[in-house]
Amino acid sequence: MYKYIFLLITTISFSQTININITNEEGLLVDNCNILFKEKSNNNVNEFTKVYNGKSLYILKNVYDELEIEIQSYGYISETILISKPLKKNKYSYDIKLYSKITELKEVVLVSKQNPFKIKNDTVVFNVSKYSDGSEKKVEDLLKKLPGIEVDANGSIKYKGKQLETVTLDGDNIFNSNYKLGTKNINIDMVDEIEAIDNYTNNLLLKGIESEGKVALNLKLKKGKSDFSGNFENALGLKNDLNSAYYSNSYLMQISSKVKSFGLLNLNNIGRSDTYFYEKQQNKSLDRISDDDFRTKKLISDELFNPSIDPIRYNINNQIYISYNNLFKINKRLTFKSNLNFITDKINSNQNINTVNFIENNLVNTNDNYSSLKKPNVFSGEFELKYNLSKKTLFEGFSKQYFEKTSVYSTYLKNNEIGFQNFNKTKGYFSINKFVHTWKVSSNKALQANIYYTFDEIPQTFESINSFENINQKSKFKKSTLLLNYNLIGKSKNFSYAFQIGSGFQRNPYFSDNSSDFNNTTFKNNYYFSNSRLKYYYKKIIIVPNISLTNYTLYLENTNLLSKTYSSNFVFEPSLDIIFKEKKSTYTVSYSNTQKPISEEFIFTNNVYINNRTIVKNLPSFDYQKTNSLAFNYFFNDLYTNTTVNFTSQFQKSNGQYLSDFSIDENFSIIKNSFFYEKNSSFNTNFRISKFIDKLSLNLTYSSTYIKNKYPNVLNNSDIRKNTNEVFKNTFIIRTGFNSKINFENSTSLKIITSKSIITNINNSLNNSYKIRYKINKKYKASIKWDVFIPNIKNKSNNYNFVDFELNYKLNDKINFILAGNNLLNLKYFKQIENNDFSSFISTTNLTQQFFLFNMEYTF
Amino acid sequence: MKYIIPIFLLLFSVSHSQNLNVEFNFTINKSNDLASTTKKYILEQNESKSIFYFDLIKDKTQFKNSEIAEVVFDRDSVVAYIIGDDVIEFFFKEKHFKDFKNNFQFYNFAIGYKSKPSYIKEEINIFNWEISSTEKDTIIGGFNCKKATTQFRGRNYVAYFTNELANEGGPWKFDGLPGFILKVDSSDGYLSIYATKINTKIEKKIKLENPYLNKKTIAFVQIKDMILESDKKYVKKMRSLPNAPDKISINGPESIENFGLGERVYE
Repeated sequence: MYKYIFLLITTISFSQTININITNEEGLLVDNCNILFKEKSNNNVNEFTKVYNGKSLYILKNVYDELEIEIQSYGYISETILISKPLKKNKYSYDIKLYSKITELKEVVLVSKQNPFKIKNDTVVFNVSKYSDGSEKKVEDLLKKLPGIEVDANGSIKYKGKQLETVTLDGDNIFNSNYKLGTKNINIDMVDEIEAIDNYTNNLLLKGIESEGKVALNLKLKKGKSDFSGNFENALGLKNDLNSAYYSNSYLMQISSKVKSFGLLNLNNIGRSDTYFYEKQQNKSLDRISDDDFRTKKLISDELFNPSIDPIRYNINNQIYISYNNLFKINKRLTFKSNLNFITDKINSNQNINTVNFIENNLVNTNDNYSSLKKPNVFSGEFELKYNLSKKTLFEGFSKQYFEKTSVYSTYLKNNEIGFQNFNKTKGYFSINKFVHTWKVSSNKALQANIYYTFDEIPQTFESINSFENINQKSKFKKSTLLLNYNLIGKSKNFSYAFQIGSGFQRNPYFSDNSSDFNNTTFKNNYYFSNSRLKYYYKKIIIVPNISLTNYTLYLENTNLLSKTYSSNFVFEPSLDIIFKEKKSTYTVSYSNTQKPISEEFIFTNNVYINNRTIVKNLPSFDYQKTNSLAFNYFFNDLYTNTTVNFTSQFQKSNGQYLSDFSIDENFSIIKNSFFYEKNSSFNTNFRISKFIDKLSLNLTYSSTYIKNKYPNVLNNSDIRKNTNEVFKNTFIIRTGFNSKINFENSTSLKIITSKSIITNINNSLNNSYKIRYKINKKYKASIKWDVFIPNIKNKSNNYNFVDFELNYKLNDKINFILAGNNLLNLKYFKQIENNDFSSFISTTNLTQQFFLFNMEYTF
Repeated sequence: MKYIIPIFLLLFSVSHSQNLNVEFNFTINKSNDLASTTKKYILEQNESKSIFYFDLIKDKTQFKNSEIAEVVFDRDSVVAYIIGDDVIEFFFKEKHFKDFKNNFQFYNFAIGYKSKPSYIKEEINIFNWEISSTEKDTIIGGFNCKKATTQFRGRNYVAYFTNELANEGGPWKFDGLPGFILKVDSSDGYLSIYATKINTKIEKKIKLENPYLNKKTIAFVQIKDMILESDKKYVKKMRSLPNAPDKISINGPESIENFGLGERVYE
């Protein structure tokens, strides 16, 4: 008995007891009350209690500095008691009288002003109908309006400043990195919601463990009555020279529980190019390896130059593009995916480059004129088989095969004097074969083994003939790689880790032959590596140290010189990231130190013609390019006010690099690359702010980029020249979303390029793109687009005005008729000026003609 | 002066008895999105009791994918729908009764559309709320609301409540705050309840009685036993089929609360 008394006394003696009697004006006990206990300084309700029948005896659980007790009851005015520094052992008693409050009886209907988005842990779900204004046709058009998502001129998409891994359909990855196929073609009417996913992983076993911070989008499609949906567009018209113009773009999509497929057929000769499926890939798998790590070099380039305007203006093409993508869920454990793409094209172009080279105190003038027909043919087949042996084990097999055959026939005129007939042929065969075994050891730990066998072979031919001269250059790069790596990843409450060990065997032979020079060199790289990355989470801060250790054994076998050289090095590359995350903002500071061994483009020592004027050779060595890089990034995203701010600043400095030694005269440019320990650095800063002003229905985006590159080179036996190249670009975009009949968007861009060496070259260019949309009535819509380019502000008379129009007639929900016209002012040539540290070029290219099209579109 | 007072009484009421009629939208986002629903519930409350009920079992627009939802089974108190090709969901009439003074709530519960309904009795004060410190109150429907968070049976919730409507009360089981709960969301996006119409202008006093007064009730913790019973029946049925599987694993049923059962494997 004494034990219990002791307990009772202790509980009372260490806490404060509050005893309150509550009555109303009539003296009756108030039936039902709530008592809130607050800390007055921050007005925070720490605890509360309910009171029935007017009497409460409550023991406080917390300690207070200034205790504010609020007694509340519906229909009464609240009363407050303030106790300053309540003493621990005290019992406080109060008699409270509550006075009636006059309450208004009302009936309220809440207008569900639902948020246009929902946040579910790492995913933001955007409701498509809440962000569209009716003018969007394809998924890409709507993505431009979503906060945090950035779509560039080529259609490449970033979320939170990071490149997308992929865009999935109802959770399934069918496109891989070729997501533009979906975003540029799928009609936005098919999509219900768009999810923006942070911490995306392609491997379901690793969900929750892999913390690479990858991002992806998921399109949640509307459920229709049929599994099939699609869009057929067929347009026929005339070009200015009375040749026919045609555009046909059709896709068929099948979405069912077992099969998801997407097929596309595109035929056009109006300049639309769909080369994105063999563009440089951004996504990396868990072991930080992407397909580009296995590619070798295409030395003889078939491009002359690309003007800085939309390709549709100068791409005189004749293209057929077919794509078929299929994901088949054979059973619960087995899925098979295939992606097949084929493109064949015929591109005509007339290009002229007039160059003024400033060498010492002399001017060397050159002129190159090409009239060419380029015929690219590319086929790619990607296959993926996933087998879930159990809930903990996954086997994956990947095989990608790319075939390319591109021929270029051209008539070339050198310095307006000598004519040549040229023929370039490039063949390519790139094969990646990968096998992966993932074992989920526990709910927060996994092991993964990867084996790669890849090879890339690019044989090229460059032939140039006239009655006096004959160049017949063969050049072939080949790269075969065998790579194995073993990874352990895990995640616990405060930290996550990723450890990797592996080895790679790379063989890179290069062969070239022309009548006077011969190259037969093989570069071999055998490497062993280990990579450790730790992510430590402390409150709002994440600290990520990373250490990479690699042992390289490099060989260069030069059959010409009958020499074999070899070098073995141990390389240590540390990096550190510190991330500070707040609710809407993320601050990141990164430091990294990397060392790169020689790249295969510098392994050959004898002359190779890469075009009629340029000859390249190298002096290879085993020096490593050591680079220190420091970057700062700030990202702010407010979904409620639709505001995004992104600021990045990076400074990078290298101790040396392969420096180009130019020997230029009227007829030839000989470039010799060799490693010099001369510092080079690059500094770039990018600022972008995007905001949607609800009241004015305006979307404003301002972006500013500044890049400064400092690099050395040698020109005609000079000393080492230190050059600087600066680019400063400002773009301002305004887009309206009025409910009225008229809407417009305008984008203005100013670019200043400065090249400094002994002399300084500055070029300012301005371009403005204006589009106005007019909704005539429910069935008719029209738009006019006007693009102005002034390639050099100092020469305003060299300006270009492109005018396009489009008239749309909606017959019904399924059928649309469109009348369109491009380049109404019929501009034929585009001329622009560029400069570098020792020359100034005026490049002229011919443009796609003016054309008119009548288009019929059927959607289902 | 005498003439002004009666006019006041017409427009306002010095009423200490809360009479509330609130309509709620109750959204459940299931893992198979085809089965997601937004059901319309009504809550009636007086100073000591409340009933939260669902009657619209024949209204298929309450399915997220209502265009592909069709009735497959129609009884007085249960309607089963098929959404798309193979997802089956059912609506049954629900009544959730709360007795605040005695701290008890009663409600009906069914596992499948063919099983007999059960009646559950449990306490009202089963939540451990933490009232958030915020600079400004959130305004919902013109009422000043404070924010509170809790972890309840496997999920995290954020609720908004106001003391301008009543001293207690809320949709479904949500209760135990010093005010009436107008909005609750689970942070994983599974559940979302929000008020669409609030009516305090009620002429007659609302009379509420326990509809389950004479029914046999079970406790919440006994629900898992019920589920295991239905498991057994299902396993028996599966075993009686030709080509019976060796191992049967059952997950679920998918629900708002964690019943204390994980995946069951029967060999």
